Amino acid sequence: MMTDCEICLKRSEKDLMLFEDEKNLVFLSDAPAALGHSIVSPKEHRPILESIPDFDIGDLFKIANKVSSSLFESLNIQGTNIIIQNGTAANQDAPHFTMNVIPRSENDNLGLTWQPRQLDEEEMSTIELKIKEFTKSIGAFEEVKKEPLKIESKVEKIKESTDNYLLRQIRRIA
Amino acid sequence: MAEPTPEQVKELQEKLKNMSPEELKQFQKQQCIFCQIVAGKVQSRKVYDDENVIAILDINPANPGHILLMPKEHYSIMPQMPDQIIEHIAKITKHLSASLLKALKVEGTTIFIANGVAAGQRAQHFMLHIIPRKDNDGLKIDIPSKKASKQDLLAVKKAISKAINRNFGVKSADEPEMEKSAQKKESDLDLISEVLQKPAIQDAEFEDIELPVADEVNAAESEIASELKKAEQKKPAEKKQSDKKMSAEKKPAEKSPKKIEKKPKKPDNEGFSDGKEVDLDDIANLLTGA
Repeated sequence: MMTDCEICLKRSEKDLMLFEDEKNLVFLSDAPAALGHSIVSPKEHRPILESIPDFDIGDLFKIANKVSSSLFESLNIQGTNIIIQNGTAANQDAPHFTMNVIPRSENDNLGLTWQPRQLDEEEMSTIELKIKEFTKSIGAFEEVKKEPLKIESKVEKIKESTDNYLLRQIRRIA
Repeated sequence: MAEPTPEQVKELQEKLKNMSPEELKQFQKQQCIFCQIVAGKVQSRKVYDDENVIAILDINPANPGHILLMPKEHYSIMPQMPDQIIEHIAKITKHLSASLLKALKVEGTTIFIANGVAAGQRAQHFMLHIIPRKDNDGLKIDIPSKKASKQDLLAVKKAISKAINRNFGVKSADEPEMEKSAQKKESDLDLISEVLQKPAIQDAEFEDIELPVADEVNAAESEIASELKKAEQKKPAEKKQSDKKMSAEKKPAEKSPKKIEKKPKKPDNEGFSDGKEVDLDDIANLLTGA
């Protein structure tokens, strides 16, 4: 936990908290794009998507999906966006990974769209090859590290008598 | 594309109505361009694929390197997808994003999911966008932030909490009260998938999570029931007087085991007759017509 990270501090703010489990938090954004805008975040301070272990990222997505379903079920909305702003270039504002779940209604004028571009075939081919260079090694995912087996020491302690040898000898003779 | 005539629309609707779920699935696959891409019948620039998912370059990218990651199976929206596919997509998203950062030397990525046309969904096949970002690249995908009063926030929290607790299997203090709205609201999501002409997918995990709760609820329920019985036997005279109150208490107790047995029960049609039907239909029509 980082004391100067606003997302880390959310752990102790319970009034806008929607859900928490061992590793993750869901809370309402206090500066929402639309009412119901919820934020899913790992409790541990992880700056970006790439710093979250493979075995933890699935839960965050599943939680975001359940939050999205909950918004569908409880608000009168026609859609949801799930958005990750990964890196400051992508408008990430706190140095702590978050997923935004945003309720959408028709004509809500939230923007959240982009201008499609047209690249020439050569440029597309170059990009494709560049990306493939890195994606070909995808496939081995980090697993939860198993606790090392603790081998309990089985050496039995020899019961020591509290009396010392001399005393015992005397007793025996007597 | 020419607008179909009313006769053609009617004919198509009739045809869809008479299809078995398997035929429907097949039909949907033929209609969906991304299913064709998955099948290799339409060309694409594939940057990753495995047993369950495929990632291609968007032909109309927001930025160069814009990736579309999608399940090979046809799902319209994310709530329909099974958890293990979501989990897999999450891992692949992370690694694709990392690949973009390294391959294109960009400074960030925007990960974008749209559920529903209102959210900007253009295709009827669920997909996740991974968009490479650079400082000052001119893309306006910023999430707007508005001021909201504490009062409004607390009100919306209250409105969402029941659904949240239900979906996460959290037992809340006011559980009996949530029964009715829970069943009705659930039918809305069912409706979304139904109108998207897809056999409803039952989320196994919802039931899994509910199970430990079931014992407690059942125990509580039988306790309440036996108590009520006792009260009834003891004071038959008072019964009439407190009838109203009792039935109010009894109902949720009787209902709760039903809900746990089989959650995505076919919703009764009454729930559909409110104003929402139109909106959701529109979602479907726009999506399937895209």
